[in-house]
Amino acid sequence: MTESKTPGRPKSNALNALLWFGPILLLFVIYREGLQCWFSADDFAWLGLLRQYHSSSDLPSILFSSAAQGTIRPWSERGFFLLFHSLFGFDNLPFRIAAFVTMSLDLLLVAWHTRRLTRSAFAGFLAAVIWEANSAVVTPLSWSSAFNELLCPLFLLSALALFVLYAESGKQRYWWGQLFLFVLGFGALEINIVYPALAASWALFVAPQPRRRKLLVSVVPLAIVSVAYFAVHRALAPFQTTGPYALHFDGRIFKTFAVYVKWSLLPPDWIRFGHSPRTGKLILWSGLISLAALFASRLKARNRIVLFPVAWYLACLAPVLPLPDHHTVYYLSIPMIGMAMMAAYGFSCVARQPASRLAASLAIVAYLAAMVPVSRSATHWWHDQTAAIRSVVLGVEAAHETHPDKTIVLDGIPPNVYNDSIGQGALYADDIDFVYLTPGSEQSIGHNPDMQDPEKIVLDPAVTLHAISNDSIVVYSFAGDHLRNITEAYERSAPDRFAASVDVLNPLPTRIDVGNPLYSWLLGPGWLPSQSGDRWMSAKASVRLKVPREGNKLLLEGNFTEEQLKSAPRHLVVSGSGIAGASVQIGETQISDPESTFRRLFSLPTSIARNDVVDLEIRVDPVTHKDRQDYGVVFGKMSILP
Amino acid sequence: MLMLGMMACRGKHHRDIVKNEEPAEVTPRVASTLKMSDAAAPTQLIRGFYGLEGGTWRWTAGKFAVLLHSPTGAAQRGGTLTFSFSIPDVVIQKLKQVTLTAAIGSTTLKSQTWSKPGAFSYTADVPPELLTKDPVTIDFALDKSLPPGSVDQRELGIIAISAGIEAK
Repeated sequence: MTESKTPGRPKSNALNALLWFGPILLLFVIYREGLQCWFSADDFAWLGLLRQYHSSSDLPSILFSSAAQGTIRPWSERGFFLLFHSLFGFDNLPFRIAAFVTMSLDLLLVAWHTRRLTRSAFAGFLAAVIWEANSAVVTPLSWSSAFNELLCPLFLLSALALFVLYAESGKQRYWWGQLFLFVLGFGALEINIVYPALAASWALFVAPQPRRRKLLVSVVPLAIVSVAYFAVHRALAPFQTTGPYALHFDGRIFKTFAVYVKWSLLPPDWIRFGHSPRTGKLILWSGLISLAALFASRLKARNRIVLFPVAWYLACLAPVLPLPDHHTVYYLSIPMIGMAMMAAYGFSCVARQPASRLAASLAIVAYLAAMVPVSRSATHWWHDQTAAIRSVVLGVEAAHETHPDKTIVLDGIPPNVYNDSIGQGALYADDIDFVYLTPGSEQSIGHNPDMQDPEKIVLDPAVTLHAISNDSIVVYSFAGDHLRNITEAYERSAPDRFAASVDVLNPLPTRIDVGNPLYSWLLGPGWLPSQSGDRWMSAKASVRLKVPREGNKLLLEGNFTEEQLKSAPRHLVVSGSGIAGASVQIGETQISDPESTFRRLFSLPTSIARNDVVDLEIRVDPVTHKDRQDYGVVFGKMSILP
Repeated sequence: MLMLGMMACRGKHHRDIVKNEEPAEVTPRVASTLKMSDAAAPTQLIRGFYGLEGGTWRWTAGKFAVLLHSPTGAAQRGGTLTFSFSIPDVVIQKLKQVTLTAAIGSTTLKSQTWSKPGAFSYTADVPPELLTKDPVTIDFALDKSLPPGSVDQRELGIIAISAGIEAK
């Protein structure tokens, strides 16, 4: 090829620099609040990985395990969070800086590629601006868990840049370089699999005719890598068949495609942020007509270059089209690079035709006028949402430092804040255990199978009453940007608050979480100290529980170690007595390998069920002797049920 | 740029903090259970306790008193007073045995005697009528103590670890 090394370079260095770096300045103008967005939702699952890391031998399994959605993204998720969390703790700024730096590099590469397609520096600038303005990139620029949408294009665009240099110079080192980046890109996002299609499109539609065949042949090994990755990935993380990530290859693909095309030109939040539906339609149609006119005119002129950005858009969008139940605007982040290049290419084609240039300018200005305000508003929304999460997580951290010997109990946490923080394991990730919600909180936060079970985190009223009267807990309420210590007020109101459900003068729960230190006053002899929420008993141990009205069943939940069960089955005998009553056997059971975690439901004898209180005695045989201590079984929970 | 950003932020580890609203510190909240090492201990150890040693314990004098919060429900059901302490060898060698008595106001609760060194716990039932006032002052008295000069320049009793009242 004979292209200049710096196609379309302006004569003025200052103008050239402005066209290169202007989009990066604009990035910080539009999305500056994204730099301050705090962690949210899935971030905490990734931040929690550091607690699983004990030695370097843990690293491969932590980095390369597949996530719940069947994804394996060591660089953009697991490795990114593990590295930054270990370096900076719960400081969000480095995470956000990494996202903005990556986006800046992406913008430079988008401009570089567009300059080469169009021989116009202004078109390069325009493509970068059109891409960054799109509301698809709001989420990646506000939420660290969507960093993959910024890192993946860095691999795709830089690998393709090396491919272009290979095509221009014929130097093999560029080919090997793009192969290296391409393979590495699989660690960022699965969409990397489409890279051979992008390289092939470039060879077909952009490269000069004499080199096409050689370039296409050079893409074959890349395609083999993609096919191999697909096979391995599918073996390790099979396609989901149910839920929002289930793939459906049917007519809904076209509907999904239409949704994404619409969102490419008009932000999905256009109306939600108070804009006119009529103006929205005008912007959408002006964009569609402009792109269609460009496409038709270029094909009529037998100019195939326009097909490359179209191929980019379609190839990068294709993997998400079979997801009819999971339409997400940030899935457009990578495809939109193609549409931005196409629009910039179209503008460069009509730059010397005043009427067409005016029409194209109007369409682009309308698009930017629609996208930029919505992108700013959406970033602001992210900022506010995550600020509330920050106040809860760091507020608990501060409360823990102020009251290191007490258990923290939270009151009035809004459901959305709970769902994106504590419900996602935020406190576990911050290395804070034993934080609970006040009784009744479960009614507002509801139950979501993907979240932490509220039963584990919402305190029983009787336990709360006992703990607060014995100064074991401090109660904090949510106060927007911080937490407020309301312990005294809560203690004063507690007897009235719980009078309907608890005997205030003799508070006893019907359920005990044995490992929770707040329940330890119900434990008799035979229990070992609590360890990470569980508690061993020796050969014999006892607990006291309230028998609810019509309560006639006892549920035991506990576990043995695999070692224990492999050496011998364990025999469990449960007996109970009311206050001053004779002991009666409730039941017995045997737990054998491999049932290390067990649940057993026993019927309560009438002589016990008619009491208000029962003292349970559990005996286990055989026990494990270690360091002059008997280890029987780990509990767990015990509940009296109706 | 990435490296610069990382270096700039490295020193910021955990500096992002939220300042919670805590109750005014003018009248510190009186705890119902008090470890000698608690930050609030100096405000609740009324008399007869020396400085914190080893981060967890304090020598007492022959008579000492502690202020404790009367927990919710204690005024109705009564409470249990628990005082954890240890008796060093030197005390038993010199005094043979010690008897500890607790009192609230003019009401004596219970006396207990120890004649061996070690870690112990004194417990006494507290009738509800003694816990209607909040906070409540608990007076402890040992029948014997080491006078100043025999072992230390201070009068020494026993080694206090924690004191608390739990509602029944």
